[in-house]
Amino acid sequence: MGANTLAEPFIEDFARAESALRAPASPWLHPVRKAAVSRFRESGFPGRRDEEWLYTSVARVLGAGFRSTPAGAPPPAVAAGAVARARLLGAEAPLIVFVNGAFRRELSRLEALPDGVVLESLGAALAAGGGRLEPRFARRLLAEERLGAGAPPRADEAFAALNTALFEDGVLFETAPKRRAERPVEILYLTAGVAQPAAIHPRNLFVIGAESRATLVETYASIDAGAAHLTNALTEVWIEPGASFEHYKIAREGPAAAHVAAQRTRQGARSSYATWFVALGGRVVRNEITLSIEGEECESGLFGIYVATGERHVDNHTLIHHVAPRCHSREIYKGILADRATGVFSGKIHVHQDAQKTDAKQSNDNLLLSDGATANTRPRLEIYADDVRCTHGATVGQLDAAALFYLRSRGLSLAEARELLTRAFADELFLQIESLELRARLEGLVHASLPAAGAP
Amino acid sequence: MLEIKGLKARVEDKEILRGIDLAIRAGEVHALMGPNGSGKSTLANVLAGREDFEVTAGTVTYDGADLLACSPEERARKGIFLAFQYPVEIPGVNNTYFLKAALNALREARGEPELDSVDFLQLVRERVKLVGLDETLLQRPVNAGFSGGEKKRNEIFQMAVLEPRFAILDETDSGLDIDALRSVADGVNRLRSPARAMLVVTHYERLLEYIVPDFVHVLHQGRIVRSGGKELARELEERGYAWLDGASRNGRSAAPAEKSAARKSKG
Repeated sequence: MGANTLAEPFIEDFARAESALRAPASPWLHPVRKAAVSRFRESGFPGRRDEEWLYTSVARVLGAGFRSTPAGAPPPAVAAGAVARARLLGAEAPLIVFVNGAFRRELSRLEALPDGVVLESLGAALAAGGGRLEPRFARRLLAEERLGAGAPPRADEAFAALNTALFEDGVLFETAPKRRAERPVEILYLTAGVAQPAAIHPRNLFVIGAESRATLVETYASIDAGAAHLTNALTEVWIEPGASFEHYKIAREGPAAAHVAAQRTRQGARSSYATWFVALGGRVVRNEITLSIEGEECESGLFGIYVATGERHVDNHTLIHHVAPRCHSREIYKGILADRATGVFSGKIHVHQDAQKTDAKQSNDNLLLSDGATANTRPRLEIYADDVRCTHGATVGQLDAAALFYLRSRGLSLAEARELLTRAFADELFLQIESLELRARLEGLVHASLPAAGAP
Repeated sequence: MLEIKGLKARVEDKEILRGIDLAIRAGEVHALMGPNGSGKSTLANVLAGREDFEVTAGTVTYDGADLLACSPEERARKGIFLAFQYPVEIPGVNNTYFLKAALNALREARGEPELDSVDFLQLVRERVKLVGLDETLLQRPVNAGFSGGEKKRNEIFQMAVLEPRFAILDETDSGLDIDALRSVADGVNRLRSPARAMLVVTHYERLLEYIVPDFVHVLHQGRIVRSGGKELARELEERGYAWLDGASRNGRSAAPAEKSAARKSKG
């Protein structure tokens, strides 16, 4: 594949920013960055024939091109109201805010953190000496080690490599063992006043300590709707044995934004994990989740809802490695697509040889609200154990004509009936959320994003 | 109230209604009987505005205005109600929420103010008793996971809340045991009024023992072939439908056989 012209500006960005990116207190980090940029240089971006990027063109993601913001740029002013509007949780919940990738303490609310819960700037933690973070940082998943995928650089890892090379900041979230953080915490990544199309590389590290419990909401939003920017996020999640973690990620950036993200999670034995991806905004969105279930008797839930209108494109890419036996995974993704929007779901379940008694279910349902909308769905199973139960199903359809007639025959207008059925399609998924408050807030957010219901 | 003249309708290439003439006045209950495939349900659905059927000839006037030009929701807002033969399951739409939206749409059309939640719940509590519907079902999605009997009761319950002026009951008796049939019929009877008309579509005379009609019409091959008083239903019960088509007498023995099966299930 080799270097390509799209890759060059990012390599230049690294050369320009290299000295500023050094964190003397974490000397182990710089070699990791150098290795990442050299892997990126070798692999380049994935092309159209790359198996993992069949439906999303990197040229479309990058558009007219993005550059990293030069270090030392003055932080844009952000009104408190803009922060409040972007929040999913109530004002009392702990909050950490980043604007254009930079931590903003004065907009955050970190004083309310319970004991045993760390929510802070990862950049600051590394600058202060992040030696304890090294074993958790940029590590391969057990599944990948077993597959021997370590050796040659792969183009489908290009964005992740770029993040490792170029990230400036992000979130460190840690819960101490046996710490039950009952109240959810919130992360906001905001983009404001971008003069030139900017590339921002948020980097997150979440460590959920053994037997602890936590809920986290992560939102990506634009303050200036018209601002063109690239978010290229990478999140590493460690769920220690017996821990329980609920993670809600919401992408609702402006119509000029491109959002590429990878989330890599390891689950220890008897842990439980629910990860949500709610895609409501952005010009092009590509969200990857790789889950490596490494300990026995885990529960895992991957839930996604994507709403796209206009010419928008949303690509959901998930890979679940069942490495350990007796684990249970559920994956449900739902798409609502209107106008000329495109939705992609590509979900692979890989059951390794030792993962006996795996129970994995996957489904992807798409609702097309207009003739010009497209859904691509691609479930994939690879099974190397013999005593497992795996099912998958996918549907692409329109609103049910019989249900529409039923509602109209009771007096609801066609528009009301369409709206009610479209909401219902989404709301069914939210029944998976135990917290009624979170469920209501997410429902409200999704309802507000649905296209105006009219005749197709 | 309702006048049907020379109505013809088809689905795809198949002509199902082949010239229906029927006039229904306020306060009347008409029963429409006939063998399977005679067009009973088609007529019910055409009157409610289902778009799967294409009207090819004839007119339907309701309160003196052209009904066929109206959308399904316009018809509902004019007071027409269809109790479905197969009520649709709608996962994710809460029964109460849906009914409140429907009632308020109708009230708006009648120039009445929206009902607030308290008044609405009071109305619901009162009407749910009328049809013997389990109140907990109201908090569930519309018809989702309901038994056949619960779905039919839910239709009559909706009718009791929406208070239509012209109600069409499409095989409301099918799939009901005798107790459910009785309580559904009770609910319907309590809604009878001089201002309200009903068209009761049924295959069997059984329902008409409980909802006693003023007029009975026999539909056969898309036409009304006989009309009479309530005694006509009794006659059909005794003779079956085979006499309607002498040429296929043997081929149509299915109707009486079904009937006897239904009667057995009563016991």
